[in-house]
Amino acid sequence: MEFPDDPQLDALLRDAAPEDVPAGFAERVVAASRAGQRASRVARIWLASAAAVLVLSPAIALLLTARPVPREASRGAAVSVAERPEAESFAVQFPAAERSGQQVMMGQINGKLFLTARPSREDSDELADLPRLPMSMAGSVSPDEPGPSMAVRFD
Amino acid sequence: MEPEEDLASIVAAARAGSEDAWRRLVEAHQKTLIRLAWGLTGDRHLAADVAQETFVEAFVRIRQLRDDRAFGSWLWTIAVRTARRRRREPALPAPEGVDERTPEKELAGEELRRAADRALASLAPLYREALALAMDGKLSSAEAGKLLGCSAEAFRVRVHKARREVRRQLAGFLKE
Repeated sequence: MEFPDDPQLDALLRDAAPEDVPAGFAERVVAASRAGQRASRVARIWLASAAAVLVLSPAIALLLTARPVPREASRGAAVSVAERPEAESFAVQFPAAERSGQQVMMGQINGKLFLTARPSREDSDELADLPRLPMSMAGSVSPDEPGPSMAVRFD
Repeated sequence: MEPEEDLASIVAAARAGSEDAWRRLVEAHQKTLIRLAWGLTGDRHLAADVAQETFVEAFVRIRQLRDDRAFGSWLWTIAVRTARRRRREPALPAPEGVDERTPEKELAGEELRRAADRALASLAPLYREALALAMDGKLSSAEAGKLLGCSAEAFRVRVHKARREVRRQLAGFLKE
């Protein structure tokens, strides 16, 4: 469907439109733009900081409260924690076995399991006894078991 | 304003932080933007505020602009959004002394300006926005429709209905 233009009406509306730009308008706009950009930067920094705090706080709290598991729960086979964590989010540490020189940790944040392994501190500087990397790691939290369990296999 | 290539280079300079480039962009677009803002709001006192807010938002977000040559239509998009936001806010009393005019101009055009303001303000926002973009004439029907979230055909229908209503209200100013 075609609609005809209405040049007469458009011309009348152009006559009625604001003719002048307010005095000093461009200067005000430039100054306000500068201020707006500064405010936007501050807001972005604040948001990024708040997001970082929100993300890192639970992880830091979990690491600080990680409980060691008795050393006899050796690596090379499944290890477990006898006590079920009270909170849905938790972290437990499985101390390294002497041969592996690894510290392994398992945790759960927001329903997601994480497994980590790193050379234990006392072994990491020993060139003659380099820590061995784990070949595989598996962890689970089961309602049938008293606590979270983890299996670590080294080569 | 300058050819497209020049516009693109000025926009690029403004994005890089050149205040002088930004001032040039403001000066090049301020008059048409204030006119557009008037068409979008039907309020000549609000138009300069809407234009200023549009420029500020554009400056803050200029890194998000993908095509420097599309600066104009991008600015118009922000203007439509800003005008919608401002219309939702309670109206402020018109500032005094903003629209300075000579007595001759007052006699010649004041009645028309008031009638045009009333006519635009009486339109539903979707018709007023369509008419404002059509009066501005910078965008095609397809571009304007996309900006307003409708088809080109729907945009033309809105413009047609808006013109018909404004023509009816301003019939006394139009020569037959």
